[in-house]
Amino acid sequence: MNKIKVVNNKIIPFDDSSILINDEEITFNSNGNYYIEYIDCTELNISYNVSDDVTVMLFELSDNNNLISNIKYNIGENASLIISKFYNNSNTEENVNIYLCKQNGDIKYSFSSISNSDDKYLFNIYHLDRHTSSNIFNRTVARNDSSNIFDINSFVDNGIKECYLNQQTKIIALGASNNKINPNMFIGEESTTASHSSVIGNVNSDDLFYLMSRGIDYKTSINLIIKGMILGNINPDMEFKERILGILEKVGGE
Amino acid sequence: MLKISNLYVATDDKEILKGLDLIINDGEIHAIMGPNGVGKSTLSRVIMGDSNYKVESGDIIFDNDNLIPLSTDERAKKGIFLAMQYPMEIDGVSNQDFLRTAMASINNKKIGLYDFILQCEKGADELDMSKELIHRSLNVGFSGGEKKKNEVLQIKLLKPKFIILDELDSGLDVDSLKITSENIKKYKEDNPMTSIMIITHHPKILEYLHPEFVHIIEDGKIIKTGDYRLASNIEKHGYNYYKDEKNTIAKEEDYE
Repeated sequence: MNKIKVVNNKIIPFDDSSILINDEEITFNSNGNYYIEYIDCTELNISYNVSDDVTVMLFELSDNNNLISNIKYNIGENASLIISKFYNNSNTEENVNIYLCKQNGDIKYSFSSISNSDDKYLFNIYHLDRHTSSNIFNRTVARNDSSNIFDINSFVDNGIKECYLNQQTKIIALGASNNKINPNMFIGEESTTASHSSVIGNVNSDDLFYLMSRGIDYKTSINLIIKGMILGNINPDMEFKERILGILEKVGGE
Repeated sequence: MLKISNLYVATDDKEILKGLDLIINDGEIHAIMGPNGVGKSTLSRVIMGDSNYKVESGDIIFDNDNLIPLSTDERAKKGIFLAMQYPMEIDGVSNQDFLRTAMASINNKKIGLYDFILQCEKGADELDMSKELIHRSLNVGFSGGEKKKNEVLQIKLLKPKFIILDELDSGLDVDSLKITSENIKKYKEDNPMTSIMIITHHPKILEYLHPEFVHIIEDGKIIKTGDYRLASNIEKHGYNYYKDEKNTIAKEEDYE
């Protein structure tokens, strides 16, 4: 897998003919899998462009950053962007703008996070051409007295035919956290297919009972459930998975 | 040995078990039968320590230890296993991860990956269960039969000495019921001191596992105890036939 590092809010240049790096913009011109890590980033502005007829898998990771970010994803005609993203930050404030610019473009955005403080996420997903599709899956484990706000807005104007919109957000609160999900779908076109679900809750007591009835103690059971929630959403490859497991082990379950 | 004495249990302020007594000695197989809503599944979950149920009075003694103050995982470590009527689906928790963690917890030591895979694959083969299920999320997308086979696989791996089968037969087709029952029977033959408590509505599973004792529960307590033939009589007469009985051991003349 190709690795890209973003250090101190700057993309570290490297040689890869399939990628064009221009200041705060990365353009993918051919199919590939890329691992992107944000290191020591505080204020991040970055755009990812997926060219026409290109399929890209992005694995994004941010650990231990105090991050304010604006991230744009521009998706071309017949292009696919599959994102698996994991954050373990403090006070994240992230704006994500997704532009499905041309027909048949699609995005699957799977984001998992461990929240330790006050995190805010704003998503705007613009369906700008017909037959475009967006699947947004957010999963957060809210620890202690953290707070999480997810504002998710999808837009389809009249005349943009046969688009598919899906938003699913789930927050599991482990402590006395304060959480809010605001899902919005602004749809002006009747041929649109749309679905959403938003869940905020505690660990399911029946799940916990089931695991403990097999001899697994409370803390280990909670950790298993957290691990399942985080990894089950982003389906990482082995290297990315090991990295996330290392972080989960470090932060623990409770 | 499990000894339950004068057990009163409530949930959501409603009393479910009302003075239940039951003794299951090592190596015995008991069947608990009764209509819906009389407390059969409550009994199984109380033995396992489900915090949704409050023990108001009475004792549950297992191998001379009082179970009531123990947490669910501590009870499992003592050798109690509840095969659930509706095993939970937990997305993202891999079956393999779950099984290996459970084995390490019960045995208080980690099991090597190679040994673990060998044991899993052997168990899955014996249950005619797809090995692919071991790598999937725990019970997610499993059919009713696959979930029950996964429960029996756990029995084989965790090696309990007291097994509760809470309606193992529900959701199972004829072939799957035969396979799961035969696997439990084989486990019992290999571990003769293991006791089994079967909760069921249907006598079919009892044909395979052949309990020495059959109990009828009504309104939170056992109203009749008999041998295997009592199950056949229940099928003939229904539960109402016994509703006004006192808790008496069935006599020869009770059977037809």
